[in-house]
Amino acid sequence: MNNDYPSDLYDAKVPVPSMKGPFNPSANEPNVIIENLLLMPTGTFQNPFIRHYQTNVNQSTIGVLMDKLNENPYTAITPKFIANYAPTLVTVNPIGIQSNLVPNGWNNERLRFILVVRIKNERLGRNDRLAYFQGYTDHAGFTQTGALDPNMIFYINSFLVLEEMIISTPSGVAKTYRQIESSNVLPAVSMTNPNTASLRYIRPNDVFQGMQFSHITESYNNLTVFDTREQMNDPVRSFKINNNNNEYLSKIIKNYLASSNDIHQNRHEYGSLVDAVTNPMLNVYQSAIDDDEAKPLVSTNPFIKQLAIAQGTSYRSVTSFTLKILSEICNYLPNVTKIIQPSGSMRRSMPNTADSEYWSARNRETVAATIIYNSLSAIMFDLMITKIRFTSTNMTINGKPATMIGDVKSLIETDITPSVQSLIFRFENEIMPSLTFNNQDSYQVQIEIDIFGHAVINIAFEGQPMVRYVNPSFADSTFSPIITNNPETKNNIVNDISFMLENISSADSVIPPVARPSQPVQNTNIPTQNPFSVSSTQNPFKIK
Amino acid sequence: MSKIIQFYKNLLKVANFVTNEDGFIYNEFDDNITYLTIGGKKVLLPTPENLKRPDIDNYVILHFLPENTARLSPDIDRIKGLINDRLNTSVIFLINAICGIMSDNTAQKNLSVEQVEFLSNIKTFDKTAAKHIPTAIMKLAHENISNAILNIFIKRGGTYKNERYFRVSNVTFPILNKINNKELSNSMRDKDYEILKNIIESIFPNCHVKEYYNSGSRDMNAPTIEALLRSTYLLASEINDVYYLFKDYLESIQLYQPIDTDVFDDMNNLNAIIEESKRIPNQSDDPTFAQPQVQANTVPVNNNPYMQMPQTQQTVSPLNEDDTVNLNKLALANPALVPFSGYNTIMANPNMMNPRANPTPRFLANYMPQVPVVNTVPWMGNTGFVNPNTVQMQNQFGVPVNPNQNYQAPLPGRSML
Repeated sequence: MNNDYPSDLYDAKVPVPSMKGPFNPSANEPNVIIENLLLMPTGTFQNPFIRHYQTNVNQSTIGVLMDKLNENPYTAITPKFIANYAPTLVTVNPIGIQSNLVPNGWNNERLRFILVVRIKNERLGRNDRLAYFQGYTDHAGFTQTGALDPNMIFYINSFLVLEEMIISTPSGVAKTYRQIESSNVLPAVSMTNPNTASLRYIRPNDVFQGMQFSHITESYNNLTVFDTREQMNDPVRSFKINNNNNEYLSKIIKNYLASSNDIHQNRHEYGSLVDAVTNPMLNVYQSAIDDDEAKPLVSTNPFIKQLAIAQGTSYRSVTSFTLKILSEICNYLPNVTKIIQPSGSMRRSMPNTADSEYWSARNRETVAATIIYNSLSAIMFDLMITKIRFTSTNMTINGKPATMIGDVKSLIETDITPSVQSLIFRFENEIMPSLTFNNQDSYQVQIEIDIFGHAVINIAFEGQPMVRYVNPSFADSTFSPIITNNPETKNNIVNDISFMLENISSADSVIPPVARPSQPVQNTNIPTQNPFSVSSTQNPFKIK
Repeated sequence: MSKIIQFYKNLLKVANFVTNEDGFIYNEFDDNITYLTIGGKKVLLPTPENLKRPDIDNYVILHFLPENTARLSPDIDRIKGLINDRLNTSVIFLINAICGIMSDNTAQKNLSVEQVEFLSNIKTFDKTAAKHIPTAIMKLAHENISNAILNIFIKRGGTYKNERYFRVSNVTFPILNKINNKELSNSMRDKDYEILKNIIESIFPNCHVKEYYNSGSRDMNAPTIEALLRSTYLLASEINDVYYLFKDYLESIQLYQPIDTDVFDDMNNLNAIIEESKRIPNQSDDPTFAQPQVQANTVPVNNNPYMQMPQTQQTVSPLNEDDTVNLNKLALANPALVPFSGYNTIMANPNMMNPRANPTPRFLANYMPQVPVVNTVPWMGNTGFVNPNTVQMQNQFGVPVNPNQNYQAPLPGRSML
């Protein structure tokens, strides 16, 4: 019996504050500098609905995918590949659950914020990082004179981490940026909290965890087992690209194939050979679970670590803070805080509950608007585009989609033309074809998305009148497609995806995963010149 | 969208359900309207207006095409149940009607040649049988209508006539077994059993032919529905044949309608129906149905999901100090305790697992003893509620372990400063 504790929890190097003197975390780690805290009041919104992923598995959706994989074994399973050949395999559920994760409801105004944090790296040869924390408050606690309620609670919705690089160019040094991570911050799942007790996440690693779990229970004749990994008492992250349904599915398939490949090639590293042979799937799933996404937020994000230390009680509430706690970290906070007071005309242009469609409907337009928002905002985070306004239609003479861009803004000060081209290409060739069955149906959209503000999506199919949907994108982790409110739906999705993966891995080209050589296969019957090598015919250990 | 709506209407007509212009589905009998409900919610057709209803949460929308073949759809299961009910009630009605004709001298005077030929299959008859058979059959119907005379069962991935199909529908006649074993009713004579058998064999002449009423489907989008409707067609046409044979007599009773067959014409256009159905999002995964553990509509500011405070003291307190606690049982009974151990592990019930019979998977072997669950809470230190010396600590195999051995202190929190 092995009584050792799992050691990886202790690998997280959380600094232990000194026992003497006043507790001052900023003295311990001076490398986190708050550059800017920008606050702005929001409008009011229709209540958003949680629409989690829905899997539609049948022979017509899987069959095409398998045929394509059989035709070309070296096909890269990209999001575009999924969008073209399996567009309806993963969509969002039309039946939404009203999202109740935001305090005080959506009929009330609140503040949204952007917190820019510079994370200094003192190690040689490494650059500073800029983290953009974005979120909302529980109420609009500010006055016209600019005073802020110190007890107002700030909730972090998502964050984006960039690395700032100085490179030398022929015309002198220049600054460029590289994206490290963009993630949604999801609320913790706790049995003791009635609002989150039944929440389940279906991130790719959660799906693999569910598969591993059902694999174990099956091998023990479905004994009563409780999977405590589902109870995530810490807030967790979900990479932004998970919100794009095509990217989500391609990531799952790629992770599965890569980890089964990995296990078969390096089985000695994953425990005894007996385990790998008798029960290889356990290790395959474990390898797919061990993702960056599964790491705790506290250990990987210095600012959140600072917040945790400043709050002191536990690591549970690290994704929310008050101004009081923030000023413990940063005593110059008033100098960097700025409130944007909306003028009269600005206030009139802010979204209002009454001027948009309900999100409760279960029709095609609502589902399409949900998918467009989820996918586009994920791609925009990827390309660091903060704001875009465009119209697009395929009601043209030649039937090809045409897009006109109105306005684009980026987070970084570089030429963003290639990013915008990439965004429009992916919109026309990846998002819309999967919603219109490869442009068989006509569509017309007018889209305006601000990833830190709100999103307006006007959409019409088949020449019907346009419907206007408005989403609070500053709080999109509360209605992310990877949240379900119901433990059974997670099981359904896990079963469907596992069924699909079994089918895909049984395609001729994909099984066995080791049969994908990176080099041309040599004829092993030719005896080699190396005296130490044993050819297959001379193998003394071979059983005859 | 008319084709798919029309398909659903015709499908429901097989089961004797009709729809009104608002898309409500109901059954009309003697001016009593019974709505089709699922889980207490009325079922609606997926018309564009219904999909946009503001009070949509109070209804269920019937739309399961294209099928999700990875799991059994509950909607199709319900449709199958309705169709089974309808076929069985039809057959029971016909049996009662035939018994009525056989015992009615005035009705027998006007019989046609075909009717006489049909009735001559039932070789003997008397007035006693006309009393015994309907009562025995109605008793069966009250027990379980969908399994009374015949039953359609759908298999995933079965064989039909020595060929593999995605779905195979299997038709059985449970009543024939009951007749052979003579277990219908005590009052039934041997002669009555023989008469009843003759009646059923004359309605379904091929009921003894193996796989005659079975069918298989290789449709990529709707295999279950296709297999179900193929078998339904074979059975319904036999039933309708008998109906049209005795139409004049049955219409005088004015209760019975023949089984509607419009949906079988629709099946020729199944591909066009599927193409249309893809334009309406599939409504068969209703997350509001499977019971969520807790439903809360509003979040008070103090109780929002991001600000969670541990509340373990209340949950631990029922333990007595002297109790010898099986910690795993405790944790299973009260799973809220487990997350506070601070470890992400899989927990298994030791009583149900024999380590000698099944070698443990690797990561179960790394599984920690459940010590911190009870005697400490990571951020609070030793709570003192349970004396660790009096509690017999067990690992997941039920082996006693020493809690002090290899015990590492949990991460520090404020209370430890």
